Amino acid sequence: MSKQREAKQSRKSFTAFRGAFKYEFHMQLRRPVLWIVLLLSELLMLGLMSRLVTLHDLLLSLRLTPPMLTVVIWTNSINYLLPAALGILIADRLPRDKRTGVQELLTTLPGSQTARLFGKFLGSTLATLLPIFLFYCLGIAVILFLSRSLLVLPLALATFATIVLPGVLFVGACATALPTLIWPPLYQFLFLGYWFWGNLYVPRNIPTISTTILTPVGGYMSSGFFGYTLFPIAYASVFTGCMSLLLLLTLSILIILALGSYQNWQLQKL
Amino acid sequence: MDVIIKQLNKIYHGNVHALQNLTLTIPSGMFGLLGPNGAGKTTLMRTLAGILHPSSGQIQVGPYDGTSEQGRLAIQQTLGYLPQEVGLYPDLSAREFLDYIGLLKGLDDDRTRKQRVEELLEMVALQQVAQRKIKTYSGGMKRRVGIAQALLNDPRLLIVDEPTAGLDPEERIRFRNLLSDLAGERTILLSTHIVEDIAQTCQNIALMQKGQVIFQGTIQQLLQQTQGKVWLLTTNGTRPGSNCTIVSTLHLGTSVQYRVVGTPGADEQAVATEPSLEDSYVWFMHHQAMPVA
Repeated sequence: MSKQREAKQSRKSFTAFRGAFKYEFHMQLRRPVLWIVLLLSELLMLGLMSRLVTLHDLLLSLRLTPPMLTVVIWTNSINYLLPAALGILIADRLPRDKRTGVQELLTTLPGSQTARLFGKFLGSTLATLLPIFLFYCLGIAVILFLSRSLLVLPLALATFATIVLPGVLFVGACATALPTLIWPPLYQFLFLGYWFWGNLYVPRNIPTISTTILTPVGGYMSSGFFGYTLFPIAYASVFTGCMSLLLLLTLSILIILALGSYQNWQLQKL
Repeated sequence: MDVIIKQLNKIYHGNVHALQNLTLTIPSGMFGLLGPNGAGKTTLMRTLAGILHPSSGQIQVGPYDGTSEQGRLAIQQTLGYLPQEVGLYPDLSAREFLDYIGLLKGLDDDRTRKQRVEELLEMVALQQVAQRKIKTYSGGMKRRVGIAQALLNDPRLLIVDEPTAGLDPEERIRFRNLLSDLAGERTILLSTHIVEDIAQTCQNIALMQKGQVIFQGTIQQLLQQTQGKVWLLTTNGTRPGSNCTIVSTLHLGTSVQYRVVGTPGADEQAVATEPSLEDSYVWFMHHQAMPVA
């Protein structure tokens, strides 16, 4: 009897997760600001790249550099700025429930709150990642065209999954959870500061966490698994790459679990 | 499903007593909760819906104990709730919003859920505009989406808080009729400060003031208790004494006719008249709740 009840509860939790994922994904994807901000960020990124290398040199180097290295460099470039935009775009998702008054309704629903939070987190994060992924695919298509090597395709998926995805999930979890504690615009401002200081800043005089395995830009996975990275990390091996990847994924899950507990605790106080 | 509330207290931060030893029995069917703003109606509704935790007291909803965590979860399975300010996602269509809430309510079979959504869209007369984004809806249409979401899980207890506030007269009538049609086997708790809504839909009512129930019974019983306390006073413009509350004023050329509740003075030429629900409400709010001299 108890097992039946548990199975029923699990099914309900999964349904709540499915519902939150589906509609958070849709709602995020429909926001014009999502496409505008990411398009501008991508143009900014291309603009910065064009200051470092001319189009002629770029095309030449694409032909001469091994495709694997080109794909890794492109994946690293994607992770340079775009996850910062992603974090900013997700920060209003949970506060919006309170602002629109939906939160009160959600509180009275029987489905698991944590399952709903996971659905919201994954739905909005993956929806925000979609324009980034499309932009990434565009770059991969260019590399494929110039290199004429089909190996580029599985490699592109592998680098995206191991270098971009873990960090993006970590950024998404933080952006979902932390604005419940601080004012979302302040979070967005602080997050941008953290992004440059904690990930891109080369350690000189000011201490930084950019060289630790906590960095979500994926430098350890990139260097550890594929032998190259653009980011300022210390020595990386397959082990440190795995550690960084697991740490980011575990932290993402823990952050959402902690958010669920925090919300439950807040409800108990009402 | 009966709802039995005993000695319920809710104290907010700052020692604000929103509910004070509230005792109330809500039988099946439509039940009206009437009271002025700040009487504690919304606090009671939110406590029954499991949003707020009572400071003390008992809540029994059918077989479930509403003060325990397990009981609260069980009640939520059978609850439909329409808050005062219904929160909706403006960028979803009504159909999408209902599908979303259906999923969150655990309606996991896609076909059954979609069928239920369509039934409810038809019931609340939104099927023609179900594809439109909610942000394009009027206040009344949003309220109808609200009631539809509350009904998705076919609840045995339906809590609706001030559902007609801000609606135009036609929308109000439509909404009242909808609620009446939904009664039957369900328990519907309708909270409002609009007396007319209660008069048109409920047999059983409770009046609340300052976090307490000051009357519980049928509308007939309420009217009986106000017999002999409603008067028509015609004067040349002199207002009735302070022991009367004016319900309405009618200017008749050279004289003024007042409809008052209370005890007019002996020198005032008052004619007793039949009380309406509004008169009874005013009597209880202004006179009955006062300590007897």
